[in-house]
Amino acid sequence: MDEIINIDEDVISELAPYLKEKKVSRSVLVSSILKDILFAEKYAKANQSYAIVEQFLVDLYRMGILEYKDLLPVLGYERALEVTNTIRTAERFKSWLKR
Amino acid sequence: MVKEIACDTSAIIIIFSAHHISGNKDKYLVELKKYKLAAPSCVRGELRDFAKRGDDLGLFANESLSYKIDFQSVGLEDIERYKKILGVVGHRGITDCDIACLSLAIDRNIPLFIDDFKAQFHFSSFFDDHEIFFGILLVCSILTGFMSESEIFSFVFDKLVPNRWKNISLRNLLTIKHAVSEYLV
Repeated sequence: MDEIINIDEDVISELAPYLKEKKVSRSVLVSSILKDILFAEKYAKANQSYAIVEQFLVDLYRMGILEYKDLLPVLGYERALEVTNTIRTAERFKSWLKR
Repeated sequence: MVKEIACDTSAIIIIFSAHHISGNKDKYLVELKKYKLAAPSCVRGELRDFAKRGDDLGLFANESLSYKIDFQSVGLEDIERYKKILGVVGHRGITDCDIACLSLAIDRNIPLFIDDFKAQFHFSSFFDDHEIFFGILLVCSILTGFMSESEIFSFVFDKLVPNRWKNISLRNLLTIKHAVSEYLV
């Protein structure tokens, strides 16, 4: 039988208003973290820890929890610009497709 | 409505790599025909060079050459003009042919698809008002015609990326992952 995921109630109650303000569901946040770990495990074996960190930061940026400036201390100026350009490019591509 | 797009060599290679390994060439072609592909003549030369190789990339290039692509000549003066704007003369790995693709896309006011991530980043930082996308995003949109989101994600990272880029850097792998994830949201 699959294990049921239990999350500490204190953490949830503290986190809930913050996530609500950012319009991010708990499920989306938890799913993203698990997907990032899985991706690093499957495809980025050379440097899993960096892959997890970058994906997590970029996911938080995409969700609106982090801003560009928050990426700078860890990713550095050049990579932060690259990843934000990448997200903007994908967003613009989706808009272009709809036109 | 058929959308006209410009592609560089790397974008054409990824489009036809995906066509070859998608497992459903007919459905893939139906979706691909929603786009009219245009490229400068130098791209045809690069594809012919690729086609001479005996490996998978050669095979994909060969398939692309039998597909209808509108190859256009781009004047040297146009390439020199964009070189001056971009400030790229033989560095960052950006070639005259990359610049010819940009020139064609801007002059015809159509989006440019390019899978050289550094060139895409450089071009889009100078021409932010122009649509400059990754070829792999076009592949994802083609695949949505007959695959689910999770199938596309698995296809891209289990098959397409390892086939197209044998020794991909972590940086480029993560760039693709961010783009594909954002597209599939």
